[in-house]
Amino acid sequence: MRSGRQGRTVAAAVSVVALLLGVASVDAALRAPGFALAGESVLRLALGVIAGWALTGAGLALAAVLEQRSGWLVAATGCAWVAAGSGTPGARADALFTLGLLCVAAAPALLGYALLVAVAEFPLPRLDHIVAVTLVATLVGLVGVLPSLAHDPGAASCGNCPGNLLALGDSAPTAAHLTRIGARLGPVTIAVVVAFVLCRLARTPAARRMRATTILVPGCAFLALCAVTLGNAWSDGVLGNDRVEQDLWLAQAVALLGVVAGVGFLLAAARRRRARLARLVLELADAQRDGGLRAALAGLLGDPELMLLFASRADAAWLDASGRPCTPPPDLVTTTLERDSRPVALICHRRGLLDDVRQRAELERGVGLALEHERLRSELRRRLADLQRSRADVAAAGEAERRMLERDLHDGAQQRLVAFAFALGIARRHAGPETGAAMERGQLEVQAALAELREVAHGLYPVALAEAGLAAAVESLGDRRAGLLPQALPSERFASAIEEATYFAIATLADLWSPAPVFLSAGRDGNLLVVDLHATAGLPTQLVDVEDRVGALGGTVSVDEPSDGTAHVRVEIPCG
Amino acid sequence: MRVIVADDEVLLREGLTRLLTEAGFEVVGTAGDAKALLDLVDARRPDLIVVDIKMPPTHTDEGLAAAQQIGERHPGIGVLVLSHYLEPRYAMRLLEQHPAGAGYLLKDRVSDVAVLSDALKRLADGECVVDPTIVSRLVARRRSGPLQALTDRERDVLALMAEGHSNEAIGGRLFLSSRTVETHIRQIFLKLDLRETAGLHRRVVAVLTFLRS
Repeated sequence: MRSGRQGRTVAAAVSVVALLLGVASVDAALRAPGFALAGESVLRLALGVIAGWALTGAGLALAAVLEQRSGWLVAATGCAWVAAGSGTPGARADALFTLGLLCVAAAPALLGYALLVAVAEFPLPRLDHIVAVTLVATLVGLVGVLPSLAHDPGAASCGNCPGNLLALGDSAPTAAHLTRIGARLGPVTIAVVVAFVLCRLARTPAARRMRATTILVPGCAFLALCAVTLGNAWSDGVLGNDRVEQDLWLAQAVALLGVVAGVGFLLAAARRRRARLARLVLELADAQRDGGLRAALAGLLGDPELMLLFASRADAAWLDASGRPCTPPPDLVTTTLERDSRPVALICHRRGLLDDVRQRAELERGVGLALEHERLRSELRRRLADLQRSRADVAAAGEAERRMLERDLHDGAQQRLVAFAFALGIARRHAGPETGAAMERGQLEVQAALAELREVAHGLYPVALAEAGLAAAVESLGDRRAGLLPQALPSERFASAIEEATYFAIATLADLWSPAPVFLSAGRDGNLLVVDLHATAGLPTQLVDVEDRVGALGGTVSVDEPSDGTAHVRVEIPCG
Repeated sequence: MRVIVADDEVLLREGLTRLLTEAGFEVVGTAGDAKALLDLVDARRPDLIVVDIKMPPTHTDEGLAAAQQIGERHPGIGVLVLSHYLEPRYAMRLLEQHPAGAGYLLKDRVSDVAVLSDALKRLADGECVVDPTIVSRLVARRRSGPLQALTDRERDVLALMAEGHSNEAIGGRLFLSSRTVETHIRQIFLKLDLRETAGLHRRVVAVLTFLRS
């Protein structure tokens, strides 16, 4: 791509050339009005030259503002169009005259090329390239260069004509013959080009088709008019300026002005888009709501299906607004938006929506900050979700550990103590009264030890929780902790992680509040398991452990301590 | 009386066997899991079985399941389930599925030979026995339902009934005459709406109501 500065220099040079060539052609037409395509009419002449200048300007704008390569070819078309006006006896210099002869049919060749570039990708696909080269070879080579080489009108028929600098021979019939061949082939190649352009247009994504049409329609009209002009010249082998040709030339000038209008429309559309983008930036700065950016972009680009994904810095994943990793849908085209040359977001949209490099750059500049903001939020949510998961994993691992300890205690120490108690019981039967009394005391001690062990095991993991659920476990807890008064308990079973966390919360709070009475009710409310604990005592400490366990499941703990010395804790856990 | 012992722990199985022998029972077989127990029961037709609640493969409630099957196949066999767990719901389930001649005791409780033989004799008589610790916990629970209608004294009597005591023993513990105990029990049956029903032991139903509440 041309750098901005270089582009501006070239554009200035092209403008000056177009200006000079235009002045020269006006001069030539005024000096020899009998040969001019504008005829005697100054108005027609002015219209023609203005069309050329305007086309050059439009092409340069297309290249500079919208960064479309076809712009340079459109500008060249404008130059060729005005240059052709010097190919009459009115030309002041041999060089201008020669250039005029060369360019006599160059404008349609260049515009045809430009249209092919505008509708297809650049560089052109091979077939399009062959078609474009054939067009230029026919219209510039056969109609312009070869006849100029063969014949110098100044030396022969046209006495007061300037000299043809290219003339190698002087055979008017050869020149006419070549021109006739060119005139025969010209309309055919033009028809092929127009067919190609229309065919490509039909395959262009809808989003781009509308824009391309504004230039393609007047452009194709111009090409058609040129084809007719060439067909008209076929009979005499000379591109002259009879009445019909003058009218055709005028129509061509009007068609070129149509192309200029099309370019103007594109520029205006781009400007409108930029204005909308600017408004969007302001809106986004105003209100940052979830998915707002996506909706705003969908509105801006006119694609309601548009998806917005954000780049994760941790890995190469794309995240949605809520931080879930996801892959772009295969039926949508993706465009990566960057900021400081690092990918920020991926827009998944329908084809052809963001092909325009310029538009993408505008987007990056305009919503870059908002995108980065959303990207950070999305990444934060993902980390939060990861953290939540790892918290839940830690809780589950802890619970599994406690369960195993309970099992170990049951299978190990408890069994051995019971075996010992059995042994004592048997031995006692055979002991004397004194030893027997001591053994009985021993037996009672073992039973007390077993009772304590049973409580430890229950504290580690209540067997009722896994086997019978929350209600049974809480009832059982109530048997051990006097003053824990269950008012309502859910009869349904929940996922074990939920039951364990809920039980943990209840057991911890009952313990913290001990020995004050605690009224407890638990039950499902929609898709939440809600536990309310009311105690006639304040909370002696923070509930970090409980909050941790409940938080790991995405639940919340809220504490309410009115000044009357009571406390209310509500635990809410999502339970599907 | 002929007894079969089932426990997956060899140490306890042997200990129990010796305790039972000491108490004058004839141990006609021992088993390490529920399947072996059922086969043995079918083959030897004991009067009583003593079974651990948790046995292979899942170590949850195999003993209870075996007790239920034995109750269905051989209704006359008394079942004593031994456990480490103070869980009223285990006792309740056992008595529901095996209404007469079933008992639920903590394992260490039967290390006292007198307690063991007393419990087994009651089971053989078709009564039910629930561990006193569980009963006292249930008494402590503040209950809704039919039990609310009982007086404290009636509740005490019911609790002792649940532990498997006879009217005389209850009278002895509460310092009441047998007649007074009988009056209390009639009141309990009346308040719990238990009329004379064929087959089902009214005492057991009353205990069940107590456990279920």
